Amino acid sequence: MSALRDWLDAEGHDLALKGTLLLLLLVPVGQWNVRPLVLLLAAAGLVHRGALHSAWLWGALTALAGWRVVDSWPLADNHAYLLAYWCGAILLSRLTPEPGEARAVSARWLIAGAFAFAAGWKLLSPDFLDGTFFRVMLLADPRFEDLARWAGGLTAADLDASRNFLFAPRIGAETTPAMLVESASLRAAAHFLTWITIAAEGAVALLFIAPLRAGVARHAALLAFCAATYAFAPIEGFGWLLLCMGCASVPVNAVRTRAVYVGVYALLVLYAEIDLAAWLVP
Amino acid sequence: MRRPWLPILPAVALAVVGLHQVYAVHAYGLSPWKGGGFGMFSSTDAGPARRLRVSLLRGGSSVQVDVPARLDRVAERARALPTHENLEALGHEMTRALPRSAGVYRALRVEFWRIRFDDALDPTWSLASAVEVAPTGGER
Repeated sequence: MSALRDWLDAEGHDLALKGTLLLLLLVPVGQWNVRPLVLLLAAAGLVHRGALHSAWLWGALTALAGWRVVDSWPLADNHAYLLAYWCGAILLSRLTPEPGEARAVSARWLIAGAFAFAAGWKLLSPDFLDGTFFRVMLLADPRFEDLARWAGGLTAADLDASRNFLFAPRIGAETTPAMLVESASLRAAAHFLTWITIAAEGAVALLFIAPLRAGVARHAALLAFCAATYAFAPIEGFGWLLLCMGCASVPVNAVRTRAVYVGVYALLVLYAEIDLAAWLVP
Repeated sequence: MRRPWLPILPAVALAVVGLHQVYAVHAYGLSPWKGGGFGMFSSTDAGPARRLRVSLLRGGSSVQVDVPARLDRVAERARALPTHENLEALGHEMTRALPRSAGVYRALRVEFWRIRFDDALDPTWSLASAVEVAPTGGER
């Protein structure tokens, strides 16, 4: 344990920077015109301490992450935007006398903003609030098939039939769609997911906005959100990015909290390699 | 801290882009999942719930044609943000991409369809917008 403590002490504010560069290697981003440079820069920053703290490196990463968003507008996923903002925040922190403190401020407000928008959208979407979104997603999105089979007691054939029913091209009514197969337990799971998602995202947003002296509740909420959400949602890149920003917002002397961030970051590596939901389905 | 406003700038950018996205969703039909407003996983109005239908108009009849794979990006953009300009851009690209075997046609019509689910998850597709594009170089 003392070795881990020593390591966390030694890493200090660098932990969040290294975590960010590592996620760029774990989930390479962008197309051919962005990806090789991003990989090179991330690798350089991880192996060379000078590069890790170089404004040039973070400036280049900000430009590449920003270009990726602009070039494909409006198609980029939301974590592509968040990556660009975060790289920009790290770059701007190099222009301040206390880069670690500056990053902590940026990270706090980026997390607050992202979660406030995410929760706001859910509260304003009628088809989210009435449970339709999660019912449709569990039945139709192949990424959540194992969860739907486990929570809804449905078979792969049921889900295939439902997918055809929900999204069959019935423009002009050329086809006779298959039947929808939806169980009571799947409806219950969808309603549970609807409200737990709003509660979790709303809690993270409020805790990061609130002027808390001790941020234990803030970090507990974000860590619990990441550990639970990314067990089933196959978008670990987003989770790693949130964890890096969360870690950056932890005071440098709060070693235990930063150790938990490292632990959940590692947990998401396991999630990426092991399909937990598939284990739950016989 | 000197320049205490500097670390707030990224969050200001996030808020500006996010508010623009909310506007674009309501004004231009942008999918809530796209545009940087963190509306992912908040609505069924994305992916397979949005569809494009491209047809060749010949006299009083129409023939549906597939969008070639090389125009996937243009089609994806038109589906995510179905403005008149984006649907028209897809139409123009399609007129250039059509093989000679497509024959003579008066115009190419690009339709954008959207799905809505009722309480029983019974889907209803509705035509949200459409544009017609004349063939390149006049009647083919």
